[in-house]
Amino acid sequence: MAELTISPAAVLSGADADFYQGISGDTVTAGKTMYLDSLSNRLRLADANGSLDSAEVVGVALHAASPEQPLRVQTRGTLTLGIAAGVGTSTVYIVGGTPGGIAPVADKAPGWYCSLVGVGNAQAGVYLNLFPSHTLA
Amino acid sequence: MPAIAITPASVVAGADADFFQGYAGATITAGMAVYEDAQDHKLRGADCDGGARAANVKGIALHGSSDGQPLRIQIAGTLAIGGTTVAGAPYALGATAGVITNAADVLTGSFYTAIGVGAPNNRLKLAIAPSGQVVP
Repeated sequence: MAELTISPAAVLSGADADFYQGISGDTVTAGKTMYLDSLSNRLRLADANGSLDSAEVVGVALHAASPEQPLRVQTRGTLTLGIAAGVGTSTVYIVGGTPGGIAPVADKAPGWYCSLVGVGNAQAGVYLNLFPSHTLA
Repeated sequence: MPAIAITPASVVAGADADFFQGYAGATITAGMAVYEDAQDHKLRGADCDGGARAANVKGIALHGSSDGQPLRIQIAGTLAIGGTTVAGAPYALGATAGVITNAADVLTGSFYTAIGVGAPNNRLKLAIAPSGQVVP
């Protein structure tokens, strides 16, 4: 398997979603995993093999944003990613090795900090349950 | 003068900005003037020749968004609009969805909606006022 290929326009939060509102520090599209850069207080693309900080996912982007623009991320609950993403039902997903990517846990490679994103559902989405383990594979 | 040519990635709210948080009802890019649809409460591109409802500007989009996604808009304060503005010049809603144009360019038969006044460094001081009045 590979990282999910998400069509940004298909990303929709569910009725049970929780949110965090911040400011983007990167060019972001909907469906990207984000971490909060503590130095700049900006949301940036999460990355499993960047650093422990960049793997500390805080949410998934719900729309597009450029640096210094507002960014709303979903922190918990049901998130639709679209049919094209090819989400596997009951597949466990983690932060991927590409900035902002979401990968199946089977893709975990040495050097990745394992940060759980959620579990795939049968409605072309995931149930978000973010957990940055800080554990290096 | 023509409509402001906006580079969406350069649209940034000022420190004195006031916001409204809603949902997009269409594909929106940063810098578009949007109105709130009274039926589904979604935010769509405003338009001065699309009727009084479409000219009832709520604010200016601060990022890109697709139908059903969250959209944060600025409703007051200073805004780097991502295009060239003339300090002191009045700006109004244009005839293409979401477009901001020089106030003098609003054509006869269109609904006049003030957006704001140009400020130094290509910014706009927002003063959104949907008049509901048709330009004679």
